[in-house]
Amino acid sequence: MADDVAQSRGARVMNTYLVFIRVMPQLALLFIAFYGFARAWNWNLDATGACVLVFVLWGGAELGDLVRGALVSIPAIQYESAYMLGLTPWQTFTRVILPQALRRLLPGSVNLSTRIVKTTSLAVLLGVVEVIKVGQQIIDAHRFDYPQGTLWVYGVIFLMYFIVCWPLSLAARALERRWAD
Amino acid sequence: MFTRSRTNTTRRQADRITQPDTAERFPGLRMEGVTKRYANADHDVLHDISLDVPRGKVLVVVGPSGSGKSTLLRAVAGLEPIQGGEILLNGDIIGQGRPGTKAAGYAPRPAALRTRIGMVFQSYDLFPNRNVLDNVTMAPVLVLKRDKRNVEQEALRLLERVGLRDRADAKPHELSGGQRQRVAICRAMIMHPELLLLDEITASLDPEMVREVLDVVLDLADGGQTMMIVTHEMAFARAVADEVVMLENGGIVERSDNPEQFFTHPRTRRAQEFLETFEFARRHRG
Repeated sequence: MADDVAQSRGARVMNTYLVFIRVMPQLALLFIAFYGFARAWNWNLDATGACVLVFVLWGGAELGDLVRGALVSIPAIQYESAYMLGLTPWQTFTRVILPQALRRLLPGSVNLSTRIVKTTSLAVLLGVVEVIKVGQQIIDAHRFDYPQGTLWVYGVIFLMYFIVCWPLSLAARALERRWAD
Repeated sequence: MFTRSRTNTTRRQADRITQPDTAERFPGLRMEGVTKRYANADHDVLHDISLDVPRGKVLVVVGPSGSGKSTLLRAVAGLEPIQGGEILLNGDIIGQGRPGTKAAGYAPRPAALRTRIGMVFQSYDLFPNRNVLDNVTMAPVLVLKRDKRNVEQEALRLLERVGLRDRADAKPHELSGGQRQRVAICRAMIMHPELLLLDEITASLDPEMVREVLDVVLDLADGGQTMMIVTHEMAFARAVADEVVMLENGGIVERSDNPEQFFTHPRTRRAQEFLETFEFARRHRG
């Protein structure tokens, strides 16, 4: 996966972290953080805390790998041209490499952020009171008055996720068009 | 990406002071015993290459693939550290190697030396996020700290010379391959390099675009630009060269300051065979 960066000890540690986080289902990570830590070391994270921890670690690993991919996809000649023109390493990175890498990073990172938003729905399984939980509570409270309510409540939840994710992909598409090279 | 070890640089500067002045400030590029070996390799990619490119002259390097010609150019450029020998530009040591010099990464060469050499590569040279004018003006403004207005005017004059003034606002992806290479030449030339290195700059171009690029190079040669050119275009090599050298397996096979003679009557058997591979006699009878 990331053989080319696995040189220093730091790189090996990060590589292990990346592989570990990526092969695990997010639900398993959530259960480890919430139940596993409490059982093993008596770390009693509250449900929201466990979710924040897992999503930070998971999002960080995935985004880090995207950034790595974007950086290594820049042809070596771009670095070499900059070297020949006398640019410093910092100038090369900020003026030449980063602007190109950011463009290549954009589609993947937007995709990732919508995935993270959608995956937060798993938090309900740790008992976090988030949109799905509230929706279930509304459905249960009005089960007998509005037996058809289930569809509508989940429909509204769908809309709420849509409202968060749709602008992200719109913005990404607009940026991609403006940056087209 | 550019690894530069401080101790290495200091040692290098000390060397320069104690160095006996063998070069006597030879005007042009001088390679003395340049040797290049990759880490864990059992033979040299370049072995003890000594060559001169006098100021204002054009040296064309030819040879089969894997002969080391591109590596030699890259060693001069500082993109490949050398493990033996010395490279001098107008009397200043720009590269020096001894056995054990690290084989990977770029040579520890300060920006002030790097900017004295221009280089154009086979492709993907231009920075795709900047337009043509910005590509050309970037280094003079950023590295040489020249006045931006001034640089832009000079850049436009250079683009005019290669017939691309009207494309100054275009992004590299909007240009043809031949146009891109001409811009890349302008970007190197605006630094007024003492030496221009061209590494197979037409190898990835369609045949009809090769000419427009090579005409620009011929103009530069007429203008007295010192150049070292690696190419597979033998007709072009013959037209532009003041000196020709043929490499194979990291060594010099034949060197000639009479290109006409080299291309028609090479002295060595190996050079003859190599040049014959570019000729096609009518063989198929339909």
